[in-house]
Amino acid sequence: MNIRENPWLLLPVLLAASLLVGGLALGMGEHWINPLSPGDDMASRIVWELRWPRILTAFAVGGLLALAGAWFQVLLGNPLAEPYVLGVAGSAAVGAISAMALFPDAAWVMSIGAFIGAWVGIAVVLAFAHLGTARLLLAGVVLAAFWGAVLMLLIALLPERGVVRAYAWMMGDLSNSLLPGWSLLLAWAVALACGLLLSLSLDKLLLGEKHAEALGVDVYRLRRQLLLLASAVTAIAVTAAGTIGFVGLVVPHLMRLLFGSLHRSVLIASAFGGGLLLIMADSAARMVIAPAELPVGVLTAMIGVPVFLWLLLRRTS
Amino acid sequence: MSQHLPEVFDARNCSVLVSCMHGAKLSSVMTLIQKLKYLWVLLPGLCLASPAWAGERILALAPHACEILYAIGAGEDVVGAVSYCDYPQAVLALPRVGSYERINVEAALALEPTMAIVMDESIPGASKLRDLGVKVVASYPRRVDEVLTEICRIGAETGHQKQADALAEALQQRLDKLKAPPGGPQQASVFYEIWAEPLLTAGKSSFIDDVLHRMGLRNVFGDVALEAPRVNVEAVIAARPDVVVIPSENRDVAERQAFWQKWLGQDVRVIAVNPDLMHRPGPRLLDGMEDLYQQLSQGQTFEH
Repeated sequence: MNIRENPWLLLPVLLAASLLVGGLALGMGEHWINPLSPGDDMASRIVWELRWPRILTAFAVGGLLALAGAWFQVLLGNPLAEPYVLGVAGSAAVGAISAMALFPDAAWVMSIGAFIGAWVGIAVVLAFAHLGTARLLLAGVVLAAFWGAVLMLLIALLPERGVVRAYAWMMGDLSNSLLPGWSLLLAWAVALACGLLLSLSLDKLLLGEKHAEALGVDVYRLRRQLLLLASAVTAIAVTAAGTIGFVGLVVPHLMRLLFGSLHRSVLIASAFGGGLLLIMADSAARMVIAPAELPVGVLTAMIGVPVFLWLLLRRTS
Repeated sequence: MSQHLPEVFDARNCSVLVSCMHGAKLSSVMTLIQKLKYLWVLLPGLCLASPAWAGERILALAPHACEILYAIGAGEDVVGAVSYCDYPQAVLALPRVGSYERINVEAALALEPTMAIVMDESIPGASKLRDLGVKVVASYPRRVDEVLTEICRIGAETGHQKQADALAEALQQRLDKLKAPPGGPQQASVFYEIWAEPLLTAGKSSFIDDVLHRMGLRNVFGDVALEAPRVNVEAVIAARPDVVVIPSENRDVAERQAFWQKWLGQDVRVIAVNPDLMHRPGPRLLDGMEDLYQQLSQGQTFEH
């Protein structure tokens, strides 16, 4: 029995990997702390109040983005699809930055603005959901361009110091999440469970809409559910951490290359794999130029792209 | 220009030519001279006359340049400013011609400037202004000493050298008083919180680092080779600052104070400063430095 045939075997393996990577990340930083016996009071506060929330956020956000990516790729029948393809990230950024411009003194308004913005974006996209894949994708791409233009307009109008904050938000930041880590982990678990419930229908949808219908799938309903689910998950991820690129695009492909394209395996593996990649990227972002930090989005691509390209070459040759 | 033409012909005298140029663009006069080639003999006279010519029309295209010009008595010559130029009061009434990083060339030319002081000669619009005959002067002090030398240089460029030198001299004296005072807040280590979320501070190459250094303070991130490094709370804890300095903009200072006392202990001092004074490399920098110095001097002294 191997992992490709029985996706459930993935669970203990990935859980162990998560604990290992998470534990390592807990210990790493400006101080090296053994997370199991943190020594003095300050060390345990650093572990519990600074590193744990950040690692939980990284894991959940990475997992949510990878799940959303996997769903969008099936929904739109396009390997280039990722969580931000329909403009949700753009509208979230517009929301966050408008909120910041209106209330520059409160940091938390950006998260609320992002959440509202994301749902405005989703509402617009949903109006095109009945039009079929190609038009939905086209509408999404055009909307993304529109939100991008609004974003540029906002940045051109912002005072200089606001621009710093806007760019920092757009590059992703896991250290200042308004949503507590455990609530994100809950969202992650719910999203994964929903995904697993839909996984058989997703496998059928992968064969094409005609075949899926012949196999008894209510394609119209499934597509609406998927769109809503994937968008909601993206909205949560963007609200928690800003826009972090690459995870949602490449992790699902990576997991398909590793574990085959049955959705049960792809979704389980993506939920964990995305989280693991983001924890590693964020730890690296904290460490490479310490005591200064890099934006986490830089590292997700730098770690993920070589791995992905290597796997692509290996599998096709 | 045409209505001035007969005057020039009649007088054949450069002082008349100069006087009729008040309010006119130097460039159009040059074109006129090129067209009327036999008048080229006037050119040397024009050049001789120009330094004594009071009527520069200056665009102050950076907030600090604005403040310097007004402080050296060149305020009357300033005809246009850019966004964020907000000091002194008189500046607020000036027309705006873009931002310090992008000049609106049309709006700028409409003011018929003879000189433009920019942050950087490479900003969009600067080379265009130069091509059109406006003298472009780049000024961007990156160290405290450069603020003083820039004041003198702008004074020399605009014909207010005397006042500029006097101002620089006065600022230098105030600066010297901040250095190594007996029993003063020497060698306190400072974390300068440029921004709270994300947490940004001042690194090695930054203006703020030099400001702190000149006051005998130690910037805890002064060896990070970035201008505004992003750091995390852990790194600040590890750096053990005695003082956290917070520019009081877009931030609840009381909240930040509670935050830093939670992480750095109750002993840490949190001091709010005015960013317009501290971050702008202009003549009010010393006001900002003296304010910080005074706040530091109140209360405890630092032994290390």
